[in-house]
Amino acid sequence: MTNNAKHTLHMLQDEALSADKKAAIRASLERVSSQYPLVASKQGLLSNFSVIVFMRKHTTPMIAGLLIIAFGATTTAAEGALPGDFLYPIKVNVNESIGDALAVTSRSQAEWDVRVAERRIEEAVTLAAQGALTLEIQEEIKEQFEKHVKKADALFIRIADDGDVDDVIRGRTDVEAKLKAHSELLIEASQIVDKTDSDISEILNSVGSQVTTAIEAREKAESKILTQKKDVIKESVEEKMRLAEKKIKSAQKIIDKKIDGDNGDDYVKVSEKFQSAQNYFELGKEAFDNEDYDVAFSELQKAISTAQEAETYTSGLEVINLNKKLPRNKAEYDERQDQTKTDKKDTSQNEVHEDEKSDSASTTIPLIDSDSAIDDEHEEDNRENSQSDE
Amino acid sequence: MYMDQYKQYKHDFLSAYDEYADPIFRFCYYRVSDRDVAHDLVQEVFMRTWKYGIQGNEIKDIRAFLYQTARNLIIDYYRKAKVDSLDQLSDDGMQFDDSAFIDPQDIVIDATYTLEKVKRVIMDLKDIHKEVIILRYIEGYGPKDIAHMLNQTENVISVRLHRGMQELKEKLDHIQNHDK
Repeated sequence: MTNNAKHTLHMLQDEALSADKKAAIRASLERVSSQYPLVASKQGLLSNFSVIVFMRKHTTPMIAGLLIIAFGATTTAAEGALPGDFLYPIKVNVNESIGDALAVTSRSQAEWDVRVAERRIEEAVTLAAQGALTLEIQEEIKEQFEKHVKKADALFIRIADDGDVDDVIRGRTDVEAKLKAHSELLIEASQIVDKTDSDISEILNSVGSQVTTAIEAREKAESKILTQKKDVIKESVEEKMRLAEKKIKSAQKIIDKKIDGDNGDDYVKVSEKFQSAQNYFELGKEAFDNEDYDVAFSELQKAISTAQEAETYTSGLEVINLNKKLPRNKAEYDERQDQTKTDKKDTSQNEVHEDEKSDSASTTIPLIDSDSAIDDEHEEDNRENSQSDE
Repeated sequence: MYMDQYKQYKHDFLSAYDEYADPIFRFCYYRVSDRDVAHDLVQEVFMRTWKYGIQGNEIKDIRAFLYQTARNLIIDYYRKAKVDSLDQLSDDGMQFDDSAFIDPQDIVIDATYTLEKVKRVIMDLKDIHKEVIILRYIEGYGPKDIAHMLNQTENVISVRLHRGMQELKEKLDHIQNHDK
């Protein structure tokens, strides 16, 4: 009994990706394509590896590892999902519930809830920067954000009752600084898009109110320490100094990594914050040396909080800046193209003028045709990316 | 690329994935003979395609682009693996003679052969023959489409198909004779 090759070859079409792998790749592509501004950055497309890096940055390594082992690529890919995305429920219901389950102590549980609340606001910032933060999504994010902040709040109260006031101050400071930075980022993100799309008051009010709660709670906890004996306060100040130093170093590291020296506005904003943190630290140190522990405590506290704010703000600027670079519609795109051409023309003319002044003996002035230079670069890109043959 | 274009591109891109993920997988798998490698290649093909488009480059025919990208990645894979199976093109200068074409209907395959055996024969073909046979007889694309996908002339594709079928026939005959 025989078959012809045509029939047999056609049967080989049954070979296909397994359903799991097909879904995993799709999820990964969906994730990458949902993060348009990140993809369009000069760093290029996020690789598979960067998914793991992303997770490590935003969850603990242990959780990242467990997620990968337990659920594979889908949950990993879901980490980048935004409200409205197909994978978003996995991010919220699967990934985050694992983190929740792994946080065993009250402190780690509170830290986890703060992190989740922060994740909601990061999503809001990204969506706002993309002009996609609708009132409906805002409501959803706000609800989740408040739920986790309140959970953290209850845990901090319990920790305070147990007498771990330092832990409470640390935790409250973290909430306060991070949320302040996120508020600022939210406002900046909302200003990228048209005003009609940028009503973020709902979520902004909610974040603002949580900042106030955190400040009040922190001050209350601090007053407990400051009413203690001098040597106890001194110990707390010494601990605070160590923390402030550590936090300033960590903020410096993030700023160096994320902010280009020549990136004007951002550099000014971030360095102002960072400089303030350093100033508070110096004041705190000076007060400590003068044995003025109350002042030292207060200044070092400000140093920690401001350094944390600078760090969070710097990290969030990445999303804002990448979105700023994007024209929102065709009219804006065309306008930018025209502006670029005019700028190039002006630059070329100025160059000609300068050259004429500096070298009057020259009869021919070599001008770089910037358009064709760009085209050449593009051509090379095209060749590299696609059509090379045997 | 501005936001409206981005949304459209994202939609088209994900639809292209749904439609072409399996064909691109087969194209890779029959050429590299390793499911895991093929799986990675599929992912890389689509990632690169996304990147290319998101940078504002125009993709006129996404199917052709996907196959060309897959092909380039397979070549890279072989280069990296230092596997010398990239046959140099010797067919391009030749004119295709229709009358000499071997119709796959005329190649007889013993039905007791498992598909696995046939797959192995396909995988054992010369690379430039393998790719056209996969596209023509497994995926069912016409020579004109294949020429477009591989950025070749129709004549080159027809020559490769002809030689590929010759090679396939020889290999199948050899195995069938050997089994007897």
